[in-house]
Amino acid sequence: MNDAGYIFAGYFSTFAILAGYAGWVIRRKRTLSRLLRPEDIT
Amino acid sequence: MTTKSSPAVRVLGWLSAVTLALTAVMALVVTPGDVNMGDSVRLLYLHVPTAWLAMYVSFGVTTLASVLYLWKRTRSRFWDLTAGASAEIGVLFLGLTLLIGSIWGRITWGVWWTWDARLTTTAVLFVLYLGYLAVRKVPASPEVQSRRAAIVAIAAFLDVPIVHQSVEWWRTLHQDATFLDDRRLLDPQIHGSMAWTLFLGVIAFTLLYCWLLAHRFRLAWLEDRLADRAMQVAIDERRAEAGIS
Repeated sequence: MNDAGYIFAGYFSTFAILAGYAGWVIRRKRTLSRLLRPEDIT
Repeated sequence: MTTKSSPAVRVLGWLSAVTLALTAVMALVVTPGDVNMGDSVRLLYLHVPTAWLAMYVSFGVTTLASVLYLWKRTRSRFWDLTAGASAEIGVLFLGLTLLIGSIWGRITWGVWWTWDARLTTTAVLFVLYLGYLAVRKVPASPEVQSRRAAIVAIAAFLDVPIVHQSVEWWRTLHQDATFLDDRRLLDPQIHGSMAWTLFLGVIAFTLLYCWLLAHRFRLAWLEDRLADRAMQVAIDERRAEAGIS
């Protein structure tokens, strides 16, 4: 494959950024749900 | 509403992970290189779906939700939170579109960036929606904040048709539309495994968008509840200080 470095860098950065964002959303969601009382979130 | 994901959202998450992995395998291993672009075409299996997701789906949902928020009969906090969540995901996808496009440009054109009409209008769109996310953070009452954000979202969306038509209106380095064009919708310029991989990529990223939206909306809703609770605690403290029961 020609330009393999560029192509793999593109794929790696895309999936890393998406995984990082998804991880941040889920972690923050868990943190906030711990801060709230059950009656606040129902 | 609960903080846990529903089984449907979990299934959506798994489906998007599987289809994304399949897209990567198809794009990097199965499909052939392009006769003109060579192997750099493999980046377009990410570039096209992320652009589609950002411009048409994410920002489209943000605009629709903003209109529904502004319309008195349908005004609800739900639409405002949906608009904000979708815009944030759209900015993420548009950032990826610009990043992958830049890498593709380095291989094909020899430069990371050029002030081409398509690239410039897309960069403007990226900045407009970053501005929208910033406007959502400007302190004000929740109603004012939401109304202001909805107006900015609708104004920002005006750039989407300009981005779409930029390759027609100006002479650009960027290639014409492959699918979303009135001449090419029934006669696309891509066939066989390349077309199927592109199609699979669009499905995979659309599933990912739905999964991310479900989680990001729930996070926005929790932030909203926390802000309400903080406000209530502050009011109770002031009342206690003033000796009001």
